[in-house]
Formats: sequence, structure tokens, C-alpha cells
Amino acid sequence: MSAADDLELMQHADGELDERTRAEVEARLAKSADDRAKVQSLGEVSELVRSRLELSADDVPARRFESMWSEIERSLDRAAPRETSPGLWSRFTSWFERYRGHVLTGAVTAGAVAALAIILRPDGRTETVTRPSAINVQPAALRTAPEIETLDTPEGEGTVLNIEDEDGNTTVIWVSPADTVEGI
Amino acid sequence: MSARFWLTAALATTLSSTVVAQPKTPPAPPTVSCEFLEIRATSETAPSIDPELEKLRKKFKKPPFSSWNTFKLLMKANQPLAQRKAETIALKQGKATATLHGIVNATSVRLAISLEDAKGKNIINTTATFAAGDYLVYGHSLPDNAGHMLALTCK
Repeated sequence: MSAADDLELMQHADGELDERTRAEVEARLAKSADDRAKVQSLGEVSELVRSRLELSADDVPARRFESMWSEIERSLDRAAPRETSPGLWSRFTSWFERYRGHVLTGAVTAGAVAALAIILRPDGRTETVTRPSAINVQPAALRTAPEIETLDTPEGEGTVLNIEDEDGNTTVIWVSPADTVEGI
Repeated sequence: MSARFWLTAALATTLSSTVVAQPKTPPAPPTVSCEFLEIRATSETAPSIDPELEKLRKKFKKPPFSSWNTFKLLMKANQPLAQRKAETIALKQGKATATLHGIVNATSVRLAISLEDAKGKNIINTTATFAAGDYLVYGHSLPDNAGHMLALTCK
């Protein structure tokens, strides 16, 4: 028996052979008692190893696995540093640094405009002081004669006359008792 | 347009609109000041005219005032008149109510006047437009042959 034959027996025990080779190995096993003993021994050894590994795996506490995974993740983080996005403040300061000249020019111009607006704005106090003098006294020669639009004299008769001189007009509305008027 | 232009425009607009948009004091309504003179006219042996009636001296020499020779000031009041607001002026003999209806061409006033005598009888209701500086005189005869007058002028 060659080493290649023993290797095929081990592969057969592990179920790693293709269809055709497995048929050849099984035909050989049917003929050779020695080969069958080898395969049986290989199966027993494999079973022993598997049992031993399972027991060892059971002995490892679950938290041990967790710590191992954490350690792995940390090492991955260190290996590939994460790309952090810049914050709002840092973006603003970076923008300001970029346009500082523009902002200062705008602020100075705006201040000048505001100062002009304050200076040119009409002052309400002046308006309230000057407003009451809403009527002008013209020279007497330029004045028009008074106009009596309505006249009601419940207790008598009303007479209207105008006296005009260099001082202007004086309009007189005189009420005479009704009986006196009738007597005239 | 550059970013500099837009920044300047935005800041200038914001600041100036804040300044200009501050509330203004509302304009005061137009008013006129009128002088009311209550006068008693009588006939006396010694003629006299109250010194405060000096401006009317010339008029007192003409009808209907020439019926009397003594003119005495009973009451004088300076009354500001606001538009559409009736003001009552208490007289020694009765009362007057004056309402400013408007200012015409900035030189004349349109006034409504009502007069009551000492007994509370309404004797005159009138609306007149007259120039600032001119006089309106309302009068009636009293039982003792005296005259009772209210002269007014506005400016």
C-alpha cells in the first residue's frame, strides 16, 4: 500500500472524494480487510478530535467571544480612520474666513446707509409743533368777504350785513325779535 | 453679480428698513385758534369802549352798533378748535357752541356756531366761512335796550 492510497483512504473517511474515486476506494475496501481497518481507525481518530474540539469550545465563556469581537472591531477602526463630516460652526467659520472681506465691506456700507436713513428721516416732533398753525392770516385787501351758508334764528328775524374797511371784513348777524320785526 | 454685492445689498436693506420702519408719530389733526369776545352795548352819557375792544372801535361807529356808545367786554376766551369737535364756550349771558368744519385754502375757516341766551333759548344757528383775521359778530337786543354781542375771529 502506497502513501497515495492511504491519502485516498483519509479523504474517503472525510467525504472529500469525487464520485468515481470514491467508487474505486470502496471497491478496494471490499477486497482489503487491512484497508477497512485503516478507515475504521481514521474514523475513530476523527471522532475523538471532533469531541475534544467541541469540549474546548464549550469551555470558552461567551463574554470572551464578545471581547474578542470588540477588539477586532477596534483594530479595524484604527486601521481605517473614519471620515468625519465637519460641524455647522466649523463650516461657518470656514465660510467666514473665505468671505471675510465681503462681509466687512457689506457691514460698513450697511452702516452708512442706516446712518443716512436716520439723518434724513423726518422728525415727528417737528411735525407736531408746526402742524397747529394750519391757517394763514392774509392782508385785509386780499381777503374774500365772509359767506353765510346757513342761518337759523328760531326766536326772531336774522339780518346779515358786512362792514368792510382797511382792517378787513366784519360780518354782523343781528337777531331782532319777531314782534319787533313785525312792528317795523 | 458677485457675492460681495449681494452681501452688501442684504445687509443694507435689513438695517435701513429696520431704521426707517420705526413707528412715526401720527400727524396732529389741524386746529385753529379762535378768540371769542362777549360784549354788552349800552347808551350812556359818557361814551366808552373797553380797551380790549380797540380792534373793533371803528366798527362800533357804524350801524347797527352806532345805536350804542358804550361797549363793555363781559368775557374773553381763546378757544382752540379741532375739526368736527364741538366746543362749548360759557358766556356771562348764555353759551355758544362752535364746531370747526374745515379750513379753506389755508386762509379761511368754516365754522358752525350756535348761541343760547341767558334763559337757554336757542337764538342763532349758523354756518359761515370767513377769512382768518376777519370778524363775525352775532348780536341781539335785550329788553333794557342794551345790545348783547358775541364777536369772534380765528387765526
